[in-house]
Amino acid sequence: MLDLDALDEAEFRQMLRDFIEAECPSELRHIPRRMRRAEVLPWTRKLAAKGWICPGWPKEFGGMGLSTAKVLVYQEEFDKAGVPRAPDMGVIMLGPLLIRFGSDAQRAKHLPPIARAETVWCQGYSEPNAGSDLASLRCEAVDDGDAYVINGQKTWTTLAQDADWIFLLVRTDKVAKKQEGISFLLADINTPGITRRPIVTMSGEEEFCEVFFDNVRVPKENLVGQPNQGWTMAKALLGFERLFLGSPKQSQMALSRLDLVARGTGAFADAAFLDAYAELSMDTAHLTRLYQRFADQVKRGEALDADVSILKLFGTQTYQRITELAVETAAERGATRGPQIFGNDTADPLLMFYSSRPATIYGGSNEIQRNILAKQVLGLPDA
Amino acid sequence: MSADDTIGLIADSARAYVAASQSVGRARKWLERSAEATFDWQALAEAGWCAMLGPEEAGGGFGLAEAAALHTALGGGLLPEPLALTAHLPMLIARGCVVHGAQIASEIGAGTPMAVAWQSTAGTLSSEGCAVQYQNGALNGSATNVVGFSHERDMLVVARSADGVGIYRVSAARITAKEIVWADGTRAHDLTFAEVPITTDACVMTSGGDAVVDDALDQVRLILSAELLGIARATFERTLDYMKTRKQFGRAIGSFQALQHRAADLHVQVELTDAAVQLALEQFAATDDAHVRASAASAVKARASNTAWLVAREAIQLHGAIAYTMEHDIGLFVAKAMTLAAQLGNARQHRQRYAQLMAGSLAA
Repeated sequence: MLDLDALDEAEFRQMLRDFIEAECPSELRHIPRRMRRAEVLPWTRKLAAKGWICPGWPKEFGGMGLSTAKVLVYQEEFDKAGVPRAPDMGVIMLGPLLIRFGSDAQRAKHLPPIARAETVWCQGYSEPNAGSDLASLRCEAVDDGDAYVINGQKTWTTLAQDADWIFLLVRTDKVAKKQEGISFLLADINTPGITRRPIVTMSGEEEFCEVFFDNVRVPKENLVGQPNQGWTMAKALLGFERLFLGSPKQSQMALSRLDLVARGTGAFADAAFLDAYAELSMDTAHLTRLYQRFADQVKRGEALDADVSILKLFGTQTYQRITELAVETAAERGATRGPQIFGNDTADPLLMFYSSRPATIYGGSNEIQRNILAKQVLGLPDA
Repeated sequence: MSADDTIGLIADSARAYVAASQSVGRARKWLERSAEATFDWQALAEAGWCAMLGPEEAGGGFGLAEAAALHTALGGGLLPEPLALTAHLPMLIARGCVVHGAQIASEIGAGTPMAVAWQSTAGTLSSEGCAVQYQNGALNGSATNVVGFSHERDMLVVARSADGVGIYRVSAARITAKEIVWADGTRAHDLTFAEVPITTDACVMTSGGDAVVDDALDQVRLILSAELLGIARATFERTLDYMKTRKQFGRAIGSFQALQHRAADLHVQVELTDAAVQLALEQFAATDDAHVRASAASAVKARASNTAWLVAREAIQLHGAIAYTMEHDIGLFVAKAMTLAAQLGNARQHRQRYAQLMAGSLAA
């Protein structure tokens, strides 16, 4: 059995590229919107057959057993090739949490189906009244002997329509300090009492759902870790996610789309456009180099410090500014629905604009990221 | 010793020098055009910094990475001496010259700065518009904004002849000079050459000087960018300290969220500038291609110039009225930031050059 971690980086990259070229259908590549489970399935099946769904998991749980350095390489190659993102909450969020904090029984039950891409998970965190202030969440789980009874509502649950299971942060102690009364619970999404309602976004897509819980009974064995330890466990896994959220790939992809629009409209002959484009091009290049600094830290096995918030903050802003220049450059076609023709290519500046709006809001809004930088990195005081 | 260790040591000794020599206080004397304003080239020479980009035999053998680390540290102390423009620039230009290279390297390394006249008119970025001609043993024409000029010292002059663009070592005694003063008090001169005689052995090179000068300018842009990073960091640090100590409405002004967010945004730009310097160093190390190096130089100079000036403007606002006094040190950081931001091309100019280079390669 080929030891992937023993391959040198160049060989590993080449192996990934060869596989992507051979197996990933071109009509699924470089699609700007988040794709549905069924759409990505032809590709997901091939990855699963290869055992390549979970790059960072230990082999004993069905993962590729790669070092963090190689996981980043895997991600880079997939991003470069515009490979579609399979539903990956189970891979990225739940799996590592179960590996670290779950019981043997939970690991044995839930991890292999994720690695085989048979079971898809969604994340039930945000609520209508708990966004930036997630710790104030109110969806509650009451101990009823052999089960927890869940009542409440989650919102912005990504691709819940395509999921089989949901992992939840729920309130299990209403008296304790808010972060200390939260538990981590797993639920089969087909449990009676769970209703999913897709949210139609500004862009007309249905990428998110509201999820309602009406006296939903969930077995006690679905509690991960100790009661009221949910917040602590969820926070412990946050570091790597912030690197992921700060990836320059959104900006890079948007820039290549802007390029296409500019070529199709002759904008490169306009000095004012060229100036704005140059600035965004430099911003993307410097963002990419800064991302590399943090990625190198991770590859060396160092923990990420709060400074990584810079990436999410600047990366998402840059991405948005690029889409805004694309809308401006496309004139009427920047405000017209559907794919537009630019030269010999097509692009959809209006959809790009809409799709980029949540980036500065999710994953810790940019205002929250600034708070983190100000307090934890710059040492500015509280009121 | 690893390359990183060397860089660390250079940065440490530069920081120590800045503190011990009360660099910021010396910068004030220059800004105020005090009679007590002095340069201490001896100290810089003794530290080996003047010689660093010259040949190893003459105490050099270091590269841009070491120079960048040095200048980031010196920038934080507002070093008054124009080390980049009057030591590194002539050193890089003369390095390839078989006849004069060693002599020039030795003089600069010993602490004698050397001015370089390359710029025809304000706003130009390369030797292309060179406005000095060499003909019949004499130089005629003009050059602008020459830092480090002195009638008592030889200088390098870029001049066009029938053979092409050359570089000449010239005694400055017979050159007419009109003084300009930069924001931070650095003196420069606009020069007029009227039948300034030079002998043939004064020739550093007769042709191909444009490529040499332009690449040297791009390397010095990287060094100035590193210095601007140091200035920006130091300005930002002082501003953060002020925000933590200045109290109004019963609390430190740094506890107001609006100001915290402003500070966070500045921090982002400073760290991007650090990444930009690292990227430029990697790009310069990877290629000799003039276009790629020019593009890299423009990207980093645009970033660093923009950041330093932005941090300077924000520093004034975040300090409030006190910053507007001559007495407060923030003004020194503002002046130095603006000066270096504008030398060898400012943010806007370099964004334009980066764009043109990119459009050129897109059209290709």
